[in-house]
Amino acid sequence: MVHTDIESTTGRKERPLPNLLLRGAGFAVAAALLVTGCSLKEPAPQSGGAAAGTGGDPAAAAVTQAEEIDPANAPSLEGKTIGIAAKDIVHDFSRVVYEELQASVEKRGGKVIATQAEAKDGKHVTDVENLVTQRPDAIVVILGDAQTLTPALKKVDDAGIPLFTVDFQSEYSVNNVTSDNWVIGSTLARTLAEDIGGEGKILAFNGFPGVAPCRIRYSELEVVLEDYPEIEILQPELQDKYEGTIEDAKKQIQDQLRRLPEGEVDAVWSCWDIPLIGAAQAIDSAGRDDIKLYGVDAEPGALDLIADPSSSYQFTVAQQTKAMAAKSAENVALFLGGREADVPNTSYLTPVFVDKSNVNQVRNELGI
Amino acid sequence: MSAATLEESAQAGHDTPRRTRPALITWAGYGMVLLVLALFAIGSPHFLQWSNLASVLNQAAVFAVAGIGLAIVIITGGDDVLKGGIDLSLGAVAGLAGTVTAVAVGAGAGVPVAVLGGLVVAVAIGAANGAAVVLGLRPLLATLATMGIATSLELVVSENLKVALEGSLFLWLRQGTVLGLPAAVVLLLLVAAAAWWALGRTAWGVNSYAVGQNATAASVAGLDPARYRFFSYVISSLLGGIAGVLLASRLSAAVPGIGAQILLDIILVAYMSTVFSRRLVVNIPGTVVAAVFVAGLANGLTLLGVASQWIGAAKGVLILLVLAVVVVRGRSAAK
Repeated sequence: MVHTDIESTTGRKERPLPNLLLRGAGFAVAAALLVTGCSLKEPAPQSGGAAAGTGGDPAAAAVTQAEEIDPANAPSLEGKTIGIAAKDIVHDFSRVVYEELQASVEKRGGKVIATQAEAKDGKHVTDVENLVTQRPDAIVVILGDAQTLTPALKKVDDAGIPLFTVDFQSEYSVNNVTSDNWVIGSTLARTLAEDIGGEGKILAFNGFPGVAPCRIRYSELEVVLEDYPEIEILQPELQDKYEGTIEDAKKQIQDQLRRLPEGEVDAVWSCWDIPLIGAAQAIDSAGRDDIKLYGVDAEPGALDLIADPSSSYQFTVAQQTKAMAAKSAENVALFLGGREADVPNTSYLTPVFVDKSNVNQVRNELGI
Repeated sequence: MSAATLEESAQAGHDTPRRTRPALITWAGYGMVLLVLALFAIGSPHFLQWSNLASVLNQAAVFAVAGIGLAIVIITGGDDVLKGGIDLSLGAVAGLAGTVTAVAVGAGAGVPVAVLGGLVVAVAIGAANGAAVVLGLRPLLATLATMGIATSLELVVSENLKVALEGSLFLWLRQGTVLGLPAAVVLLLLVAAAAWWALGRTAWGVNSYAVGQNATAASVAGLDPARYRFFSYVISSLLGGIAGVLLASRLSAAVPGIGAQILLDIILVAYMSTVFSRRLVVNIPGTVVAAVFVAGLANGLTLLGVASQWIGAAKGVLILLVLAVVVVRGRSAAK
């Protein structure tokens, strides 16, 4: 009986054909977008301008832009087993990368062993350890915390299993696929600064100073604000949580609105969208149209709010999640296919900036 | 004649289960666990490899050590979930002890001093729990309150940042071995052996069971239930603190908010230990087996290639199957 249960659960992994077709279509849209270059607002620099600070040895870190992905020409993963360890599927970014990566590997004929850690560092370590014991041909880690995960990644390295990462820089990683977080951070910060007229007070959610993308985006905020001395980050900064984030952030902002009357706060900054969705609920229902919100990730809930002309939510950044997943699968296939030289240390994908003027267009083009 | 036959068969029908079924069913909990593990072994050639088994034991160590602490509280306070002994602060205490240790090491304190600091803070919270329960507060509510205090203190001490934990002792706890066994597992075996001996072979242990099962009868017999309960919370927190240091060593950092993530599994393994007991009571060896089983489930299901979103469900179903044994045994005992 137990055995049947397990059989039936594994059976669910088979994807129905229409779903596959849909995924294929999404893949094609993402690929077409990359080929044509998107016509959206402020595309980020396409060349090596952002080479500094790729972590580790800058000279060794090859910087690539999003390359053409041609599934017909790409190497196969036939007969290969790929282990995937995602930090969470709590927010849209990681959920989409997690699902698309599995689809991309399977599409190339590979077998997937997928785990996700429910945003728990301890489970992330356990997941990676459990994958190592199965000796897959490669392991892909989606997001992670360098401090807690590095010993487990060393075990991957010691076992001779090539490691790939998505949005997570590690010394043991063959290749990291990521958005250019320096560009995201500085554009987010200067858009905020320009929108509020170069002066005012802002609230910042800064609960994850140890998570690399958030750390980079926050330090870019500080860099930009050096040139806007009239803008002040209100103290104490707000602490966002990884779980129950929206409800918690809503309460925090409701409390802040009581403390800060009109004119005392002009904008709210966060390195991701989820807390700002709660913040927007608090601010919009209080009728405080003097406050503007700026986030990253293009969560569907955030895009809905940006599309609403009456909402305080102004700006977010879409990462090309599906293309990132496809890129990572391609790099794995290239590497295992003996084309190590074609796999750079870091593959950058261009972020897409979203505001009230282009939100519907971006949603159509990226299918988000 | 026919009546006699009927009576005979009724007699036989009545006696047979009493004589044979309990003896068999006593081992049903272990049997179910072995069956599930055997299925994993058949399903994946990697499951029984020593490196994988060592990894599962290592993963179970934190939950087992804290679970032993909770088991002692439940044994001494009674196993009624609402009114009996329960320590909800255990996860948060583990997190706080790990954080205090890591911050102390970071501030330049020696490793023994830092670990001692973490454990002293844990014991202080345990003493607060014990005092509250002795004063007559419901353990569920009292430890819920101290859970909030410990979680908040952890945020204050860590400033909501991960605090790196460096040092040879912690490195050894993470990856050291003794006779091929992971260091964390050796520590678990020592803690389990000490707790098993103390509960089964000393007056304190026997009296703790007596206080937990009938406090009135125990006080009539001259025992002071308050004293036993107070110390059960202190011991529980001490073990929670040790589990916290183990966990921080495993993650090479103290992670804020980790307490809430581990609490439910700690409660699960302590209560699940009843399945592995002749008299259906919470016990130490059962807690260790339950912790290994729960860690083995997630590991085995991953090895079998079960999609991660189904692992929680599959784990729940298998745990329910094992727990169902308790009900079957409860019924047969009631007959």
